Amino acid sequence: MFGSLFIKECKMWLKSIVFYAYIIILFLFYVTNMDESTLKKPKEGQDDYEWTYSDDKKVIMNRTLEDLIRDYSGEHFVTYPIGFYKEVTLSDSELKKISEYISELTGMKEEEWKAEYDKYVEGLSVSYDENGNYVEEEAVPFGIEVSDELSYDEFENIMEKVSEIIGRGSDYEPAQLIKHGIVPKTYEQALKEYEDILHEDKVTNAYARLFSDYLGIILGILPAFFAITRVIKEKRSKVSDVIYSKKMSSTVMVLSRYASMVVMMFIPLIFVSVFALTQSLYIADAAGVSPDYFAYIKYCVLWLLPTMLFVSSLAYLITEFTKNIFAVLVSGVIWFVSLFMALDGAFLEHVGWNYIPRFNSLGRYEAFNEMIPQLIKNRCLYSALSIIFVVLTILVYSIKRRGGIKKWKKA
Amino acid sequence: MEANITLENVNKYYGKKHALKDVTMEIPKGMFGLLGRNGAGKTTLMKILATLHSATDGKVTVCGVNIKDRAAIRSMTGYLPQDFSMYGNMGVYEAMDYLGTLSGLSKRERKERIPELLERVNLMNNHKTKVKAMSGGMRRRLGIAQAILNNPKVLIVDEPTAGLDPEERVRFRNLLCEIAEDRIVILSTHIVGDIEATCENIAILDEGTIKYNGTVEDMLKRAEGKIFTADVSKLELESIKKDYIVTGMLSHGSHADVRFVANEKPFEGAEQAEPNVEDAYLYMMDGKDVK
Repeated sequence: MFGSLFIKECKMWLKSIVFYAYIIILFLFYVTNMDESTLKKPKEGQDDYEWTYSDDKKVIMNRTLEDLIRDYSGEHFVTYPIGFYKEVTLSDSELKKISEYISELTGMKEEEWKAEYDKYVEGLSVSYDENGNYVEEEAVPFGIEVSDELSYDEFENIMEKVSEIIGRGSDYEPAQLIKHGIVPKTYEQALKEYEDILHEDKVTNAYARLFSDYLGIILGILPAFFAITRVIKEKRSKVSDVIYSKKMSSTVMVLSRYASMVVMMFIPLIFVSVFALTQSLYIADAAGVSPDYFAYIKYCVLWLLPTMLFVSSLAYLITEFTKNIFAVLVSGVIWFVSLFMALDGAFLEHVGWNYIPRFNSLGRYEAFNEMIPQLIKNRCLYSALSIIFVVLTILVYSIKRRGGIKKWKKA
Repeated sequence: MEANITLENVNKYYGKKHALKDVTMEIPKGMFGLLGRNGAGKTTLMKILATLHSATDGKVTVCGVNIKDRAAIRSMTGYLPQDFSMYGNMGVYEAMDYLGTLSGLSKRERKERIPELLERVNLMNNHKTKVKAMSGGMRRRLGIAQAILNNPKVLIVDEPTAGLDPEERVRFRNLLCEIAEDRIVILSTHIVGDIEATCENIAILDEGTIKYNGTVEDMLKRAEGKIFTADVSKLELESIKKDYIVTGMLSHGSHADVRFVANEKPFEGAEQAEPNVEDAYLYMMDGKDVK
């Protein structure tokens, strides 16, 4: 009976506008975000090899100090509370505190580091190159450095106090400090990354990760609409009483509906991934590498499917329980918070316990490998939560089928 | 297996509202009418029998099976709710096929049963019509067809003729009578004519209490000698309406032929009349308290 009902539920999706809207949004999201341009091998002596973030703590500390002094002098601080840009104006007493922390960082008196900075500013000249780009030339190098006696932990402690003054979401929060240590990549670094994409990732895996990162964003919310639509459709059509009175068990009813919505969401994803795969195969071919043909399907199942299961099961449970569209709000809030939780650190590479894992980098094979154990735990957690939500949905549905919980007796 | 439904001291509360009060009765095979005003508790009782609501207390058995065994009850009952509907974009056959699957019928059984039932309810020519494009009568016929898909021992039909035109109503009642030949059909309605035309046994429900339970014939007997007709002037009409339950009235000029319930001959000129089901129903509901 499950199979028969499952097929009927799938056919119902074929008549639903939500299903076609989902396909269009998925495809547009892929097209507008994924850039699958051909890989270029770095050549020795190139002008630059793009930028990276230094893991040298001294570099991070000095660059952070430089940015802090600039912000302090311009009295211009910025934060990103829940991801939105916000300019912050500090009071005189707060500026005084920041100044004291700079002195603590440098081991210099306020007058000393300010004099050094003034010398640096006076030596600055600004011009525009032939392309009209803004160019800043330094006659005197920025000479203020973090005291040699200060450890990185002490530095982090001071920066934590600084970020408390500036407000939540500033780049001076300990997790964000790495962002200040931006340095040019060396030829060797660029070449290693390129070689890893070819030989470790076989091109397709690197692109499949990027694909999963982008599609994971949209799959963090769209499945909720499938679940909400299915439940509300039953309510709007006023078919509950007829369906509730039938012999079929609540378990089979809920499971067939849930399975059909997941399958009908997963099939278009596979189609989009095949489209992406063909692009990656072309790139791999151009680079002369033997690709991994199963890269996309692997990432779709292991990375994206748990997101889909989680979002749809949560929305299904909430909507079955409330019989209204409250799940839109809940799913929207969770989605929004999760996206901004991922904005942590220099790279948009964050797994933790976020239901939308992020890895917004092409390649970086070693960095991804380090994340794999946490990614596995994360995906297992959300798959397990999905099973729990579906079981709870079955329970709610079967209680509703008998008219709710028998709680009223003689008052 | 017993071919009847028994209810023993069934109570149902919705919060403080006492919707069913110690309902005890037996429903035998054949057409059974459940009559009562809107809000009398008919739908609550029907929903309890269809396992969609649970009784707060009391015992219900359907053909010997306790109502708490929902799976068994659902496999032997068919239910047509008051506002039957299906997914609007489904066709008639598709809707039947979907509900047949939910009723646990195999593909082969569905292929056999659905055309046969659609033929029976005269919907075969409309088997592709979308539910949203169907008239009220067609929908009701689809409703009855889906309710008997699993060939149930018990058919529960809640207010099936409300909103139908007279022709559709008669057709629907005849259909129910045909279906009731070999099973229990419980018909809930506030339209006395439906009961009169179809049911041998009835129960009258009023504010959650059973006011009458028995045969239509017996109910008519109870009203014997209590129904009167009189030709009165329109000026007297108001006081008659105030003192008695008027069950019918036909105006002619400044006079009216009035039919009413009274416990004894009320005035000179009033003549005793043979009660019909509507008279008897009104007598059972309020007539015992009149003069």
